[in-house]
Amino acid sequence: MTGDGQVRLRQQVPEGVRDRLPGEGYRLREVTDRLLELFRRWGYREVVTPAFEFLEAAVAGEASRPEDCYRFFDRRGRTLALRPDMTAAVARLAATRLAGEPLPLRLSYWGPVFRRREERAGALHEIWQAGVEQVGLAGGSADAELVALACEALAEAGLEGFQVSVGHVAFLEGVLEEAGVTPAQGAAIREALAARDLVAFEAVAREAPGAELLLAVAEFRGSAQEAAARFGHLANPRIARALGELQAVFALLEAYGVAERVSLDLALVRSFGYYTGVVFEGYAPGVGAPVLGGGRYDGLLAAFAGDGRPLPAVGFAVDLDRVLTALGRQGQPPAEPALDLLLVPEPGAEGQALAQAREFRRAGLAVEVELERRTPEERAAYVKARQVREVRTVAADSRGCGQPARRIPPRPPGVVSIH
Amino acid sequence: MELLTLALPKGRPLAPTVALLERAGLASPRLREAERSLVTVDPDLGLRYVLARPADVPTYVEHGAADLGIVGKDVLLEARPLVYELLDLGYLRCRLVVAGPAGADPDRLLGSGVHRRVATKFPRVAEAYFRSRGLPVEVIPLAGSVEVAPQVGLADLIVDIVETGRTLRENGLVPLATIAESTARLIANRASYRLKGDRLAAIVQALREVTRHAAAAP
Repeated sequence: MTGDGQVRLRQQVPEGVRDRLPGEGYRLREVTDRLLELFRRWGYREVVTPAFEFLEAAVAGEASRPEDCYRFFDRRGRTLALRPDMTAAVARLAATRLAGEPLPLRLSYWGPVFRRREERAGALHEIWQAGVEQVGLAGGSADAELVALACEALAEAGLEGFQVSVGHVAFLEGVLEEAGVTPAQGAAIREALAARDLVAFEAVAREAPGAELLLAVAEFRGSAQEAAARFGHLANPRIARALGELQAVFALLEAYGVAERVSLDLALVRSFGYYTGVVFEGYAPGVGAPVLGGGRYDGLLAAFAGDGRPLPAVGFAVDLDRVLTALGRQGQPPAEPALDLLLVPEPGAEGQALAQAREFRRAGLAVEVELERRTPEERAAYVKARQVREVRTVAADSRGCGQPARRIPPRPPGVVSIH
Repeated sequence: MELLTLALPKGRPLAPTVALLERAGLASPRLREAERSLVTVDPDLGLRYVLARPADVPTYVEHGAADLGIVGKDVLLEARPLVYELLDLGYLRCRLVVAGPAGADPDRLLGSGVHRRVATKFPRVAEAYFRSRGLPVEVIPLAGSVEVAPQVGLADLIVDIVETGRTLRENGLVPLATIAESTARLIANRASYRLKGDRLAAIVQALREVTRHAAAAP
């Protein structure tokens, strides 16, 4: 490689990752903090798992495909993977180290996951998430808590006009059974619905024996009761179970106060293979991809438990960058607090300035002390660029710090540092 | 009523597109005016129309500048936008083909041993097609007049859209393989599809009705 090429690589970051500049870094952490604080109020306890794991753990239970993982080797030649998904990591934790804990477990997490993505330039391979997993309970009441918490999470993040769509894996599988599709047709239908390519879906569906049923499901719009009335006559145990669970979930959403945020989407398909029951996705104006996704995965923990014991679980993850994009489109991204105070010591007053800064910082203000000697023009330019709220000159004979001349508003409420 | 924005392809595809919207009761009379602006609003229908280059329609829809768009499948195959494809509208019918000089041996041109150069406005489609067949290929992207590339020695083959085949014949080319059939598609922004679902469903239904009738007609 030429010297020029080396310099260029030294100055860039690889495809799929990005730097967070001042302001961006603050916004990412601020949204993360809000969500983790909300999760805590719902009884979810924070866990942290390693950034890399054995490949076997990363891909257990069809959580991810090996080719989607960033892979490398440990000293003994075993394959490691940067975690491609947080749900599998938390499932491993719940099925192993937390196996003796009373159920249900309510766990929350935050951090980046890493996925190789071939298809598009600009797609992030490092995806920052905050999410929750609830382990040990089956049934509609557990699903409803997660759907409701998903709505609360998007509201807490500051999103307006968001919508959460709920579907059920078993319903669609039952419908594919009833429609008599071949395995190849079933795969093509799932793939088409995951991408919402309804033209491709219709082309495959029309060739199936039960074409009418497939088209009716894709076109269905309505409540869980209406779905039960429409499709309840089908004598298929999967469909019956799915309709029952969906009705149980929607019946509780009113009490959670989120009913108008949630709609039924019988054709919802998520790309992870481990879902077994209710699945859901959140959408916000201005972002063409889900800002949140989750569902029930009753088989995944068995992949980690030594005895293969199945353990029901349900969870979701918020895509923090997509939430920030939506907030930006909405015109109200959380703004980083300005620097409250710049202390400029007169010659010989450096000590007093440092002592004053210490007292102000203890009182919660963001304070810089001018360590270099700036000209008034340089200082004015700095104050403007940095948006400093107040500049104070510290005289050599000053003592104590008094109060800043202008009242400085306190920090916004509800912001709790996670660090 | 909040306006729904519809991105339409300008140029040659516009006239049949406006005709389709008229049949579905979704066209503003102002779309027929000679001095059309690129953005037209019809408050009665609750629609805003944005005229864009066909290749830009998926971009408008993906990024939410438009809720819905109408564009050829050929454009979607090349752009691979993150949008939902809702309806096959059945017009703007064409084929994406591999074509080569008439009289040349097609088995040689499409055989596995040779390294061929392919000129095209559809580099991603071309690369995916040849790669999926394990055929080594050098793709030469062109912005237009692809059909002259073999004559001037720029390429051995081309990948392009064909409606009647006349342009190919005039340039001494013949289709060797069909990569895909293409028709106009209704596409939707993924968030709009969820957040404005009822209004989108009404438009899909209206267009479905008229395309079904059109398909039934002789």
